[in-house]
Amino acid sequence: MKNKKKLGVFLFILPAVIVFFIYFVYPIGFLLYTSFMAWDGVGSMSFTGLSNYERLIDDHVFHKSLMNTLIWGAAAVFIHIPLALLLAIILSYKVPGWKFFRTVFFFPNLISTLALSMMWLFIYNGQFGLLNAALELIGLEGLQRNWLGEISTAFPALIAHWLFYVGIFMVIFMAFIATIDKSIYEAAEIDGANIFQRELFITLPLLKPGIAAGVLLAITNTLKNFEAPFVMTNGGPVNETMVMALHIYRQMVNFNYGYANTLAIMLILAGGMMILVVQLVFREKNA
Amino acid sequence: MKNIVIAGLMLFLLLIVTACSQGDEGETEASQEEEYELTFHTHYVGNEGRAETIQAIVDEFNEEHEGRARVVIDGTPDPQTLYDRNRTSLATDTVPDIFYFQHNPVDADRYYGSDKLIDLTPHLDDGWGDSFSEEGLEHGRYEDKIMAVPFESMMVPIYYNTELFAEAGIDEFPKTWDDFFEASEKLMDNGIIPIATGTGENAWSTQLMYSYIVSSIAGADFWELDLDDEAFLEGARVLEKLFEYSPSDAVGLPYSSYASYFVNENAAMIVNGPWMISQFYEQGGDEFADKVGAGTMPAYDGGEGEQGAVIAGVNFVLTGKQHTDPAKEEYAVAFMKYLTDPDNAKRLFLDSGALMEAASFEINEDDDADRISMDILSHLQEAPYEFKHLINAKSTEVANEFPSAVSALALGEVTPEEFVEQLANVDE
Amino acid sequence: MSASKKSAKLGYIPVYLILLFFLIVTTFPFIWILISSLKGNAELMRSPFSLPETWQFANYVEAFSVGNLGRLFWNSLFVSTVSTAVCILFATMAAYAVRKGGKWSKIIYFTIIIGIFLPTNSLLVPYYLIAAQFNLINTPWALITTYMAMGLPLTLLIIYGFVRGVPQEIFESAEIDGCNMFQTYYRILLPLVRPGIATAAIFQFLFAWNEFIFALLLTTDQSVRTLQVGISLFKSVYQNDFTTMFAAIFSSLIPIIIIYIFLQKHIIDGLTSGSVKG
Repeated sequence: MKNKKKLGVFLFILPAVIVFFIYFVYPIGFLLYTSFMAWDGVGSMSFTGLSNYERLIDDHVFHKSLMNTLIWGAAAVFIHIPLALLLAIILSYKVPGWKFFRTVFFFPNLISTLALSMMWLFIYNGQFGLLNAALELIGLEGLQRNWLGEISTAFPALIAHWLFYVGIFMVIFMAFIATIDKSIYEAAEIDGANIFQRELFITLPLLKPGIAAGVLLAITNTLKNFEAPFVMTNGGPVNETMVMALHIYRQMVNFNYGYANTLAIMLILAGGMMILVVQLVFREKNA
Repeated sequence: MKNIVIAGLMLFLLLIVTACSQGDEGETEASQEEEYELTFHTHYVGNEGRAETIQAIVDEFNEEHEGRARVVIDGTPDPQTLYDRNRTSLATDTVPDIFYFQHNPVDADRYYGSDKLIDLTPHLDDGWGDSFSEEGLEHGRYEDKIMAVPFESMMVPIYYNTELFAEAGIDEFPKTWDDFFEASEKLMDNGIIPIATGTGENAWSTQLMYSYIVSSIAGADFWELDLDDEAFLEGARVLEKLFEYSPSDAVGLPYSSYASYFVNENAAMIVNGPWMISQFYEQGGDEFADKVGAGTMPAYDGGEGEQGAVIAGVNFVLTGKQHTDPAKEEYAVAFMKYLTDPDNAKRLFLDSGALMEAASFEINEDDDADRISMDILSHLQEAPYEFKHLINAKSTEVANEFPSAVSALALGEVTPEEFVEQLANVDE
Repeated sequence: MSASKKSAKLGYIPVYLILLFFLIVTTFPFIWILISSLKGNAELMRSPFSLPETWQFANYVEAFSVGNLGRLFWNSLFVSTVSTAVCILFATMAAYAVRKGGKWSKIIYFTIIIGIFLPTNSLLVPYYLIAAQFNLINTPWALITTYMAMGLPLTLLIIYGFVRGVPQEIFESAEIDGCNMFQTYYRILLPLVRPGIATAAIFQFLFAWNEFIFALLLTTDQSVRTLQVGISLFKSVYQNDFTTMFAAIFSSLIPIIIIYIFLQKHIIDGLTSGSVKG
């Protein structure tokens, strides 16, 4: 009986384990192995020691894309998530029409990043784009520009296209807020706390696990960015909007498989480090 | 739960409606068992100028070989995506049965040396080889074998809008770069963008322009110089100046956008291949196309290049996957032969203006050749020499670096010195 | 405390200004694309902001006939549905095993869960070569297997969050009644965690429907091309016929809009219960 149960458990977990090995364990091992190889994907590999890693030092596109990935992550943590929190708190007061707002704000998160990027490509268009037309309408012609073509605006514009689509985190935070015991608020009100003090000192601390989860999710999504720069700027102008995933893709299609995999290792490390920092920050505050 | 069912039904209905409205594309999939199916990867699909003719050629081939072999067009409308795919396919066994790639010496060696392509050498003996020029065939040579045949050539003129020129008081296409910039000033005064170009995607028109400029400075064999040679530096300075006469949003501007500046008559000039002619007729109509003239390279003051030289030569080479089944290989070769047949090359030229690399074909009085194509052809015949553009002449690394380097140049982020340095660094 | 009393204190004007701002950035892009898709190109260039002078519904006809949208929808639907089904199957089986198993199964569970944080875009080369190894390149199965694998960690997390809540006694009593492990799984567990399955399925389906980079890499034939890759090619398909391109882009959103209109409550509730349990 016991053995039969063990066999059953084994058989039931086996498909997931096999999939995990083929698609997670083996690929990471493969990345590590090939990151020490000179390999064009066509011919055979040859061991080159650390030369792929040495190449990282001089690769200014890598520096730029790593920096951009970090900036994007920071924007996620310090702007995107707080905005989601703000909306979640507001809508949790069930202001008239809150269901309508929740429905509308959530909608863009269902649309593929690719379709959104295609839309925003034309919103930023210098010739007939919505943004320039809107600026003209409110008398700010002076601000009109080729948003994605200028070094100073390209990357901010790229981030901004996604920054306000906070629906998914808003809904997650609203779910956490709904679990907070209402009697705590009543007690605070008796103590004379006003609405801002209440949100700041009661809601936020109680939301900490939710915020931590949101931050982790946001950072993981940040690391996967590919579509927006691929469609809107192709990494330009002058690699200003390059991100890690696009750099890896470019290296791969240009027969630099070994180096592409070295960059992939860097992406995984960068992600791991950002996640570690988030965990440390939230643990410290909890203590 | 009811909502789920309704939503599912709605979606399903939508899909059926749309799936039915898409024509016969699905049907081509059903085929007899013994028939060989060969895929031809191409970006000549949809609204592309060559699409209809290519489809007709494939249909004729299939009709002739019915029951034995059938070629299926596999279209990727975006050329860059197509190139990326063909490159990555070399790492696996997914090389298309028949495909072409943009020739450059470095990529070519990688394709030919991959051991995955068909060896065309034995197939060239029966006269097929004679339909190509000796020089054209060299593009497919790897060691002592021929791994690809020249497919599409190019002759890149500088198209200009004669009406906009006349309105600005310019009588003829500039013969020197000084005249060129003088004319550009006049166009600017008239509120016209002198030259439609952009640095998006592979900075296509801009790299053609750069090739023109440097050739006018250093003559026919300028690609043998290092990319940071004095001639390239001088060329970079001219290119930098050229951006003063480009659209204000040239940096990052993709081909379709700057092409629309020219077709909508916001801009007076554009550098592009002959395949654009069909776009003039289709999008601008006859009225617009009649205004389009084709200019050639201006001379550079003190430069070695001659006025009238043109960017020309093999752009795409045609090749295919190596098969273990000789019969399948035979059919693949048969299709390549048919596709590069002089008659079909002529059809493609007449229908779209595209120049296919095949034995010279005669254009008769009664052929319905459009004027622009004929202009281009006569420019080609009169040209003192021909040369390649950057993407055909240099490695993919250089071609990939170019858009970002030239964007930086246009934005004033780097000096011409730094620009040539940047390109030279990635050139082996 | 009543809701209205609370919001009165919040101050309506600043609150609605914030909401209005988000309403504009959220809806305007979609409305603009829709309106522009009904214009002619010349009109778009001339006045990007106005309503169409004449409504060009022909743009939509052209978009469908040139863009082959039907095939793109169909391919995406097939890939997303099958990958979701397989992913749910494997994840529910694994979640059940983890619930029944001992220490080792828990270790396996937590190891797989870490996969959520792996930036999968780093695995371009390996996933391409794995698909090639199984001879799947250029078939929908390349995407189905890859998406299934990529979504497995999150699906498992969500489903285990629900499976954990099922008391062991229920399984035990089923076994006493003579059910074998498979029967217990099929007849007892699956019906009990239906909300969890719904949540996870919505996530996985949306992920597969919206995924782009691997679709670009793993399928090159137009016969298996998915909607997202199709959209990315619109720029070349429609060249500088921007308004038809807008029509195509808007059409590509319609299935999701329909799903959202009908399943809005399920999607948001699913996300809500999934995030609190997970």
